[in-house]
Amino acid sequence: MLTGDQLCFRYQPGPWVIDHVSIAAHPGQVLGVRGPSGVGKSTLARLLTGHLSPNHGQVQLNGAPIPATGRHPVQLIGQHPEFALDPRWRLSRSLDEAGPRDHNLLDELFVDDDWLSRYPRELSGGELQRLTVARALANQPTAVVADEVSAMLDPITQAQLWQVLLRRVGEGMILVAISHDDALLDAVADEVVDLEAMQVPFARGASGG
Amino acid sequence: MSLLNVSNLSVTFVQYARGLRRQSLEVVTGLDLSVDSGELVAVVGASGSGKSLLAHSLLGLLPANARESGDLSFDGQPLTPARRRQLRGHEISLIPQTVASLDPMATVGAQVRRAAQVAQHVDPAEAATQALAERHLDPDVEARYPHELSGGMARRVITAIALIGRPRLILADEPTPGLHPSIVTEALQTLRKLADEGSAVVLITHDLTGALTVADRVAVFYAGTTVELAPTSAFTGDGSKLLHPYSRALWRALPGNGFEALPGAQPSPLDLPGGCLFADRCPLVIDECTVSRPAAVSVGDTTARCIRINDRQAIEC
Repeated sequence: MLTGDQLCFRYQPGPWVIDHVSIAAHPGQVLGVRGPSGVGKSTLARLLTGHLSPNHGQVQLNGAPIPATGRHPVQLIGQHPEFALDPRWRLSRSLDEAGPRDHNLLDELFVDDDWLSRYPRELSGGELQRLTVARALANQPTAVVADEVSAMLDPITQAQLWQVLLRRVGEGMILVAISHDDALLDAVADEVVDLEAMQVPFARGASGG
Repeated sequence: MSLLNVSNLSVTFVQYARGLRRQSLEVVTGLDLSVDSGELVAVVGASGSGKSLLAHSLLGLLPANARESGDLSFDGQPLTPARRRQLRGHEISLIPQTVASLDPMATVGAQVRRAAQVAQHVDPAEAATQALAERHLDPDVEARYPHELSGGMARRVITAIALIGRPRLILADEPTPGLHPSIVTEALQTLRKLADEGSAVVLITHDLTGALTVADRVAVFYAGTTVELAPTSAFTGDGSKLLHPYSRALWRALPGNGFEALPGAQPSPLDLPGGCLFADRCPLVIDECTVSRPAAVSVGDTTARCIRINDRQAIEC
């Protein structure tokens, strides 16, 4: 189980972006997170995947804190693959960073072998996003946080990526799906929570200063 | 004859790969589109399907290594490269996708006034204030820099700039994905209103659901080809009113319509197949499909590039 307990975070100096948010995602299930823009959805994604550390509270995986070194068992996939891939590296290098290539996975994502010898600017957003998904799933992560991963994709590519992610969920992976697209969350999520409603301002009390 | 007619447009990029080895990328091949005054046509398709290149071509903004062929006409006259340069910013205008198209170092007022000047308004300052007012922006916005605008305000500013020359044809690149839904809705409703007031509007987007809320007709692009041009009303139920198998797959892939994922990806522009570009993914493919590129065939008010139009019902339903 992936849990965030009473998470608080702010970009210093600034208002609290995540304010006493508690969240729990279970193996083999998709937890949908919705909320208007600016409510902290992407910040929550970065906290759960270790890209940011909470000011208060803790993220735990199966009841234990996540080790600071080694392969991170909770992988983040974002909205903009062009920012997640080194523009000066051929795509094969970015992909192989995650370890040995899983050819079945690449086939599942309809990745063309030719793409791997090219640079990110030579491929479309949909092609690049297939590769960031392949990289995130390469090491059988325990959990994946998908932050608006298909907002810029056409419906068919969107459905393809989600089928691959949902297949992993069927095998026991934890998936947190963040989106403003209610129709998408209805189709993929077992449970949907609203981040705005989960924020508990003032609960911080004296420690908030 | 519509205001804008694009027929069989092809665009090829000639590149040098390594050393002197030349390669051609067929990025657009057999693209058709027509839009009339008062009409909003949505252009939908995956990234890399040629949507943006169409806009670049109409505005005369293709790079120097692009070779173009096909028939383009505007208001009954051929759209020559010289005429495109002359019409852009006046009769043909682009609403860009992002605020990145605004100059971060200049105030909103300076940028709108500059656009008014280019559009040959007698009093650019007055025209700028009026253009912003038409988009429900107060005059005090003129003193602000782009980073001081919210996403919704920035969208209104770029719309004001695009419309200041009173264009007859508006090309709108989709509002940035991930923008707040209310801003996207406002942007789409603005386009609908412009069409209702007599402009011809082309909305370029991958968001089929959003496009269907405002469009009169939808052009479905695939690998640089218009596979289908259908009225919005054809996108309904199980998609069986659509003629092309790709349009049906696009419709059925929406989360609310089955979320079906058609296998495969678009062919590479470096290595396009000789026959139908969709043949390798098509559930209806037969040997003849791989022989030559299918011509556009009309059934009622729908046009599609598929040789199996008449067989679709029997096989799929």
